[in-house]
Amino acid sequence: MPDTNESIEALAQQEYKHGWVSHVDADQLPPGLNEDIVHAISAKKHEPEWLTEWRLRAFRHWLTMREPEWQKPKYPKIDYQGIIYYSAPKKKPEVSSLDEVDPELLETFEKLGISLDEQKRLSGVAVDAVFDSVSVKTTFREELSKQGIIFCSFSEAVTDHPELVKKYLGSVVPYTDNYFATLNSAVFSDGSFCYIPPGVRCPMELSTYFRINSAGTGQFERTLLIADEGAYVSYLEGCTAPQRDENQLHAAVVELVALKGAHIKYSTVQNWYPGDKDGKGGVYNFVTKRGMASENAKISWTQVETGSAITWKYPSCVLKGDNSVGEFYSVALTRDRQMADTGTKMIHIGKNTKSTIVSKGISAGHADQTYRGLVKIMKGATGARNYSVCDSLLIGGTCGAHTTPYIESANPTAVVEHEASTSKISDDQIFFLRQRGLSEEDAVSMIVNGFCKDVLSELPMEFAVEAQKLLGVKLEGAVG
Amino acid sequence: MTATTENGFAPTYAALRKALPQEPGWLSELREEAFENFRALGLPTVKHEEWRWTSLKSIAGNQWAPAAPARISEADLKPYLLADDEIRLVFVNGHFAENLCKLPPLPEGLVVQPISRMLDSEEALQLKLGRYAAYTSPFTALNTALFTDGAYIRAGNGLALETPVHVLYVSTDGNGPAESSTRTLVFAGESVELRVVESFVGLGSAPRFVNSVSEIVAKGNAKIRHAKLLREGDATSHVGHNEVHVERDASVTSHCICLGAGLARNDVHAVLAAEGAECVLNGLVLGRGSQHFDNHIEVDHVRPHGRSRQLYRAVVDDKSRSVFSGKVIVRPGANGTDAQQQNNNLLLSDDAKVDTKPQLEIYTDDVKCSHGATSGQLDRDAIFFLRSRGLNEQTARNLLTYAFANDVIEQIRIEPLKQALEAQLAERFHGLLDG
Repeated sequence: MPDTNESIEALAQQEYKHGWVSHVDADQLPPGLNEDIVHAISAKKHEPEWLTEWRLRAFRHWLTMREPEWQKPKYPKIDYQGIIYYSAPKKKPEVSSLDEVDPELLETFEKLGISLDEQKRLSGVAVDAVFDSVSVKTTFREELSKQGIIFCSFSEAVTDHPELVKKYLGSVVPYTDNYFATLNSAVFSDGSFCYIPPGVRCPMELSTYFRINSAGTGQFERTLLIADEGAYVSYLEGCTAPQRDENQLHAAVVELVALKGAHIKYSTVQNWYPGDKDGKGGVYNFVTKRGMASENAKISWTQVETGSAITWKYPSCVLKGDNSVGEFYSVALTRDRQMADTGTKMIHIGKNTKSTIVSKGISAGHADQTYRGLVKIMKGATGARNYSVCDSLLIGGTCGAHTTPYIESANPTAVVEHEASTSKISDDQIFFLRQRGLSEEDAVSMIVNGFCKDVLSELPMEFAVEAQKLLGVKLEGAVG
Repeated sequence: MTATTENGFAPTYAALRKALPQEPGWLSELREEAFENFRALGLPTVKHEEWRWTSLKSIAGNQWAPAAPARISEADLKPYLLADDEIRLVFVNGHFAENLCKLPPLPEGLVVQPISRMLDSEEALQLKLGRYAAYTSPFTALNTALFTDGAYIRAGNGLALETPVHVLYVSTDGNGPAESSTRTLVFAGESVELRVVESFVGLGSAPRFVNSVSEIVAKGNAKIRHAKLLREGDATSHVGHNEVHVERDASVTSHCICLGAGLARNDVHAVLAAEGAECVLNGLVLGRGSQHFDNHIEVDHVRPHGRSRQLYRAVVDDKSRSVFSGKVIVRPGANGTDAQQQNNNLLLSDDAKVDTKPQLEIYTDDVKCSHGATSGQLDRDAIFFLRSRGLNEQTARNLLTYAFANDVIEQIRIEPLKQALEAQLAERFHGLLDG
């Protein structure tokens, strides 16, 4: 089909929409990693001694660890000494209103389509925007604080609420957890912090936008979200990165703490720069995300992964308390030379714990995608229940889709079910839609959206629209 | 992998080389090379992804002497036989036991012989031992270096045989830990229909390490029905590799029935090497005591229009464990592949454990692949239904467990084996059926 080939060409040459660089003077540390750098980062952020110590412990532990090699996507060795571990816009805006923010920064956000102004007025979403490593502006904080909700950058939390940070930092993802989480623990620059007091239902969707801007900087942000007893919060995270030829490392850590009866809903739309069509450049998205659910608590992860050269992450739930619930909904779309190795871990510890996994993978071009997940039923998890479904859709004869679920069950009353299927978009489906007058592209887009519906419907409204558009754009002409 | 354990087998190898009769040069070279490979690979540990749920401490922790030839009587063997008219080869402790064999006049074109007797014949060249089972994995390498004997079964073009060929590998009791390694070669020529059963039987309670490798090759349009039946003793560690090679429009069915062994690991590697090849791999684990069964399957769809099916079921009681890892690979260009994989596990006791990892690895888009895995206990509604029909709880449970396991047995197309297993299954739950 010559038509389709042309549209594939067109698509392949389509530039990354968010591929511009903002020229904001950055305050940087020299590249490299040693104890001095860890000290320097800590000093720049005026951190208390215990945190500096914690970073150093992590760093020393990191030195003893080996980079993992078991994952499916292979990548050239990362030069950890070549990374700039701290980069902040030089003018740290101390602002009370948006007018005082560096105009170029504002423009940056406008290009991204998340103008703070716009968001503030129209959607009532509070945004904590992380520009490189320092949180620039937090909106709606005052309104939130009336209810006792703390939503601020991580460094502010360290200064203003050290007791909370000290109590929960590393409680879900200890600094010894894994290679990248340990690295993050040593050098994390900033991130978001959120605390919802007991019984409070957060009145709006909280949101953070991440962007990697300066060349050669790794982004090591850290998110700590605590929902106290009976609280509810829905948190959105969106990521874009400008075009760069070097691979950029993004090794974030997200920790969720859901205390008794709390409910955390965490949604991600990830659209980092995926590299060009030959696989040059792009972001390495190696993220550790984990939530700890106490009694009757619920943690729900929803992710739409369309970007990054390599996505490698397993948002997980530790279902510690009885009757706790974990959910994982994921759409991963890879094309060109993108690679993804993603999935989830559900650790059932408490009685009557429940988990649901719905994963949809779409692979096109030369992309390679792996679902890897673990459902672990501990001996004491009487009455535990898991249901997993992982479907893959293949577009074109050169892509790959793999499914590797691990199931470990040590309790006879637990019921674990897993099913997976892999197939291409059937010619019959396309034919049917075509004879109804839809173009091939629209037909594919419609089928893919239908394929992902179970997941997209879990996203909050604003994100669902963005995600659907994103999938459409990413798929244009990808069918032959 | 560790580099320390492989030396544990160096004395075994040396002893074996001394004990073996004069062998042709090519075989000695093959053994040397394979042992070198094993030395380099070492024994895998739980840190190795493919062995994460199976610890080999029982193998690594012992010094294994080559099992000595022993004599057993026909009466000892009686409970393990399938049918009177079967074609039977028996090996005791890895050595050919001619007095126990049953080799009626065979149809033309069929050769059933111990490997040891084939080495000097003209066919030795055709044997090409290790041609299909590459000795790049530790236990296959070790087997190639240490095997003493095994069955050689070859059927010429067009032969169809209903009578199964039953190969029994028997381990006897003895003093101290002993090792035996055997090899089975099954070649089916074009349009052949052949049935082969491999039985592994343990008669004693001394620690044994049994390492078996089977190479099964089906040429164009051939049909092979194969089964491996494990009835080893509780102190036996059994490691087996089953290499299946399927050519154009041929079909291989292989059942692995695990009833006895302290630790058993079965690897099946099936290559669908030509268009339209088919492969059905099924398995059943009935675990009790502290048995540990590990089934590892890899089906490799190399060419288009292949079809593969897997159904593995495990019933684990007491402290037993069942591990399943199944992988379906669809290579680039293997369009029209149809692959299904199913693993179901039934846990009967609080201390039983199940680990499973069904995997799909797919590199082309025109495929129909699916897999499913479940783990749990008996359906309460089903029990309730049976109880409402007047069955007591225990009987209801046994009936359902029997049905669960029998789904696998039912698919066996080797009649005497199927009947024997059905009887055995009924017996296992018989005492309870009375209750």
